[in-house]
Amino acid sequence: MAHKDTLRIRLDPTSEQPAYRQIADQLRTLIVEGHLAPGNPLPAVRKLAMDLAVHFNTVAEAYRTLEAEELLEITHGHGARVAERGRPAKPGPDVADTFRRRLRDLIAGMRARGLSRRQIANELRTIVEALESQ
Amino acid sequence: MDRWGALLIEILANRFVMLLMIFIQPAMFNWASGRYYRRRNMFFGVRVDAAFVDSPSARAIVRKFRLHVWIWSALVTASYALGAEVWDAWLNENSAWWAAWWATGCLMVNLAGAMVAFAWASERTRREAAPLPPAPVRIANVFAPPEPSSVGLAIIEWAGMLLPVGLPVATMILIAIMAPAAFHWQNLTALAGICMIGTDVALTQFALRFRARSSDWASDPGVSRKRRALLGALVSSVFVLMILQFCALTLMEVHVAVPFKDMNGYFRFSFPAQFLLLLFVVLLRRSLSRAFRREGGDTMPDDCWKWGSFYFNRSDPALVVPLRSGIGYSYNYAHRTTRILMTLTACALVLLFVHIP
Repeated sequence: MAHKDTLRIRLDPTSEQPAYRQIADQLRTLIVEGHLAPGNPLPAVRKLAMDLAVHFNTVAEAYRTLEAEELLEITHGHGARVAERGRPAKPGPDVADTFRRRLRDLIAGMRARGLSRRQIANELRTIVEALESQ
Repeated sequence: MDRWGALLIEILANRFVMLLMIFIQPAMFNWASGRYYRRRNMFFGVRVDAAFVDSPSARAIVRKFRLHVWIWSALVTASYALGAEVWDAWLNENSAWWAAWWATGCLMVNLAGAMVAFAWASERTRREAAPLPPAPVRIANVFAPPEPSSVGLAIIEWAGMLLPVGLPVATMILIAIMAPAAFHWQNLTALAGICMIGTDVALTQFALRFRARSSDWASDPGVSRKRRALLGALVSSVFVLMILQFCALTLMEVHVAVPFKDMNGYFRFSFPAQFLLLLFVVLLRRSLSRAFRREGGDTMPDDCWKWGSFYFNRSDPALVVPLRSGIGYSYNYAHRTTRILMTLTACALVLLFVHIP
């Protein structure tokens, strides 16, 4: 597991994806991969907004998105913490379908932007290996 | 006229000294803010390819910029001399009240001209430099270490926040208690004006401490805090001495007890204090200049910088950001707080102008 000090959020101002979505996606990845344990506090909205040079509402929106997904607990006066989660319910067939469709869309998008099949395959292999070692 | 006061008047009444002071203003500004047109990959506040900085095109821009600045400076100096001659506004013991405003106004206009020349050079750089690389990705540490605490820096910062407002307020209270009869509208407006300028300085120091992005100033949080505190000290020390002198003069005017019995005593304090301040500013500027040269520049999109030195970014919560060229900072002019600061400054200038007659 990565050291806490090395956990970073990257914001690409040129990306088509909205800033709040970029923040929420990266925090979700950190939580689901176990880099952020249940109970870990997240940086204050103002601090993260200042560091990423985005409006406070952008970070607040990202936190609210993750709260709606039950990944975060937001308490007034105490900020946001990673929520304690039970084992997720067994996913239905639609979840796997959605995953497959989004993955194919993403791969097509990356190929359209010039990434070769070999590079994409290598990236996927790295992700699979990391997933299996968890 | 006492000895020190007479000396000051003599210096200012020397027409050549006054003309020189106005004429060399751009050179002084260049010295005070470092080589303000160039810093690493920034050229006149525009992000450019490193190769462009040494290209003939860049050299032509610098040459033209210098020419503009010095021609403007010569024109303003000539206008000052002409105006002073025609309206008898040379500074001396018997000059009219607006002679000081004429001199100050010419200094300001000269400085404004240099800023317009900078804006012209910035726009030309934007047109002529190779297409800019896209703004880099912004990165935030989820568990970024907080800025280290330091008693020394805290004292500098809080002194910079409290003294500029505290001194005029204390003066007003002192006059209201000890000489209420002398508390007429002219003193009140002048002190209110000074108080507003003090508020500007205090808010700037506050913004540098609490409303600035640490990583903009240095990658190390400790270094960043130190750099911002020293920059704030550079600004506030100049204003604090100015405010202190103004308050002392006001107290002397209304005959409320001050450490100086007469103007001679005042000048005996004021001259060494100004000399020490100059020494402090020179040393601090040298240290900051080295530090600013090492840093690479900000990660904000180029569209956020207008004319190379004015930062506008509605979505950025930072109130102050380091200048892209030279030493110093720019307010984020898209912020409501900055508009309040600008309004305060305008009100202060009006109040001080009203006071002078």
